[in-house]
Amino acid sequence: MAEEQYEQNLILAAEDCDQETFDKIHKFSRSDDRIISKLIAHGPVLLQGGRGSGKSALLIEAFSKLFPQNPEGSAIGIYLSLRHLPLLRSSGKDYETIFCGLLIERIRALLREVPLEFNAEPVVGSIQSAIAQLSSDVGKRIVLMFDDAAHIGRETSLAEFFDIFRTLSSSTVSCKATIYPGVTQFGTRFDVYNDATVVDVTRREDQKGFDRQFLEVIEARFPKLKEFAPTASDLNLEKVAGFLGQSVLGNMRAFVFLCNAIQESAEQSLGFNLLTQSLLDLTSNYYWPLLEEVSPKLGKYTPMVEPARQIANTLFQECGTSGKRFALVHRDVIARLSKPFEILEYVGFTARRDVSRGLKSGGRGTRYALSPCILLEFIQGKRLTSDLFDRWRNDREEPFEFHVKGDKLAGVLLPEMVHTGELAILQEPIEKLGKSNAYPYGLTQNMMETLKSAEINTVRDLAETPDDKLDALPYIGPAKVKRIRNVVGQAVWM
Amino acid sequence: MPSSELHPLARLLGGECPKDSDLGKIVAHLGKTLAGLIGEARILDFSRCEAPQVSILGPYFARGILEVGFSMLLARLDPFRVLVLRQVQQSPDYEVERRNSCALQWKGDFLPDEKVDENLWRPSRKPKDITRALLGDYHDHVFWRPSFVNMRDNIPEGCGGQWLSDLRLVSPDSFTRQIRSRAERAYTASSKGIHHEFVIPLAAYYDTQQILELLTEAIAVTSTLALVLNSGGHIPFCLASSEALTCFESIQEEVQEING
Repeated sequence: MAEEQYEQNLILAAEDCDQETFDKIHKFSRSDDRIISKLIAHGPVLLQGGRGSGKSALLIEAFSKLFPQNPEGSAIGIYLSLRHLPLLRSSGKDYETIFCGLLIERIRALLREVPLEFNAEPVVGSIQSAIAQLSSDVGKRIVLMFDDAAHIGRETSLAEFFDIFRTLSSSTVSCKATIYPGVTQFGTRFDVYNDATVVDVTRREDQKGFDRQFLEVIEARFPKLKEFAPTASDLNLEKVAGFLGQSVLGNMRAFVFLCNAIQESAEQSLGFNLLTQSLLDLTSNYYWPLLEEVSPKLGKYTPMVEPARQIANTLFQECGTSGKRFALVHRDVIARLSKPFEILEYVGFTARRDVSRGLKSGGRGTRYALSPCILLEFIQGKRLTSDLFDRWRNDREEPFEFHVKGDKLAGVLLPEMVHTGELAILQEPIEKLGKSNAYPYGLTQNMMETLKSAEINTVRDLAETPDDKLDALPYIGPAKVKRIRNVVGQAVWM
Repeated sequence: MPSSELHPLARLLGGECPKDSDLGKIVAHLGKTLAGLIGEARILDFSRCEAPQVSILGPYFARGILEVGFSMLLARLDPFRVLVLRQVQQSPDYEVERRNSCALQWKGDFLPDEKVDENLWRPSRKPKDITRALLGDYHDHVFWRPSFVNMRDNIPEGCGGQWLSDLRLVSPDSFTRQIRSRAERAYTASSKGIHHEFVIPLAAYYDTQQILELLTEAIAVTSTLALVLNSGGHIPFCLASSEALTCFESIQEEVQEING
């Protein structure tokens, strides 16, 4: 693919965008505004959501409304991405020192242009005092935003992070952090109910403005699709945008992948044939490979991917056959298979809608919405019809029940967890990052050869090579460095 | 909303309390006060980032909504407490200038003043050691959990707006702990604005966004508890599920209007 074409189609993670691009392509609904408001206001918040749900985008949008990004902002906003390899492997005092070093550097960089000084030692106590002083000097409260702090595959506990989160929070300083559905260990000092408000990033089709938000994203990122607006009288682009959003359970990254694919293949109006093909393609080119991509970065939970795949097959098979879009799983089953269920939620196969609902067959359980995109693969005929379209737009269907006494999920057994020294992905050769369904914007053959000639053989080598060294390699310029960084980021980080 | 009409939050909190009874009169008075607080909060000018009037009055309204709303919840669950208070306030010995030991306290009446040890149901525990705080552990088990389960089973999917969607992600076991923490945080944040204890300018801390968030949270917490309360199998004066839901949805619409 030509470089320009690549840049045009590159699916940027929010944290990789410059401000201008960010403003252009990110659209927020009323429900998102509610979350942004919580991020700007005082008070500790843990923003929870699966991969590609838009956590970083919400954090960055909130950050842009605060001082110094917004000179009128009434609070100082500090956004810090913790995509920093040494943090993954360190613990205790080492973690604190690295974390504090990154935070100090970031605060200084942000305040340099104001200009304001920030003097602190890389220990939490010192930062705490310096931030309190800063707040008092400037006369503004402070909001610290930590992105990518909680990596599920982290070998050491996340207790250090949550300790710091708690310690830095005060009456004038509030901390916000993004976490994943699988992050459940907060350490002994952190009480998730008392020390933070957990906000779920969910986009559901029954929210006001759901269709409109996805239409706006299409208009901003895929204007060409407007040319292929549906011609059927009962279908319009907003309805289709909403349906596509619903098909990926409101996951923005999957939605962008889907629209990309539709835009590339659209030759006729957006009708059921094109939608069917696009959804099936997304399932085989994005969703299933995602399990493969995620597996080596889950650390000790890597063996849980296989049971997650088995569960997915069972859920989708049973629901697809019976024409249901929701699964209600007995709580005892969830308790036994919690981690694989969390993985499925993280990769966007399912979305929790209700954590305690009565089963007709007795007991209570969790109600999940299944991705209609994947469900289509399990429906007889694998074809999206007008009838199915209308049925899926109706959120009030009864779920398919998986009772604890049933045998449908009883055969899924949990393997032993492996306690390895580091994430498996770091030990993989760089060929792992080659262009594939798992890494659609992965490394080209030429890139890999260039890297290997410079003794960069593993993902770890690549992650640890500084940008200037990469830039100095033959045929690798700033655009390719950015691409390499993006693919390494996708591979290592959640 | 016409002034003669009861505010939906007041209706949700007060339920079908008989109007002519002493309890009904207390609930009606509190409902009117609550409607007044929300009405006054609505006319604040939220269009500017920093507005002195918003910074000064916003925390007062937020705390008022929490206190009055919680008093109404307590009146429904523990009428004895508010009826006694009413008698005390009507007694000739009652003086407004002196601290009244019988007054409703945030810690004690609404939130427990101390944590109960692990075994709530220890037979040797004396009744006076059993907290009757609205969001205490005993109320959690006796009222909130069963009502919360009833509520989520009785209200159809897709109804109740964003607040109910969020609530469906909370397990019955953690509902009270979570709402207690939200209430405590909103109450503390608004109290700091009333007591003027900050070393940074008040307007910088209580900017428009912060006040809107605080008011939204105060109303959301109170409405959520009121909705759950109306689903209680053994709670008196409950509204029909459909009316409770209508009130809950219209409160959310009003809050959305306030937020612009």
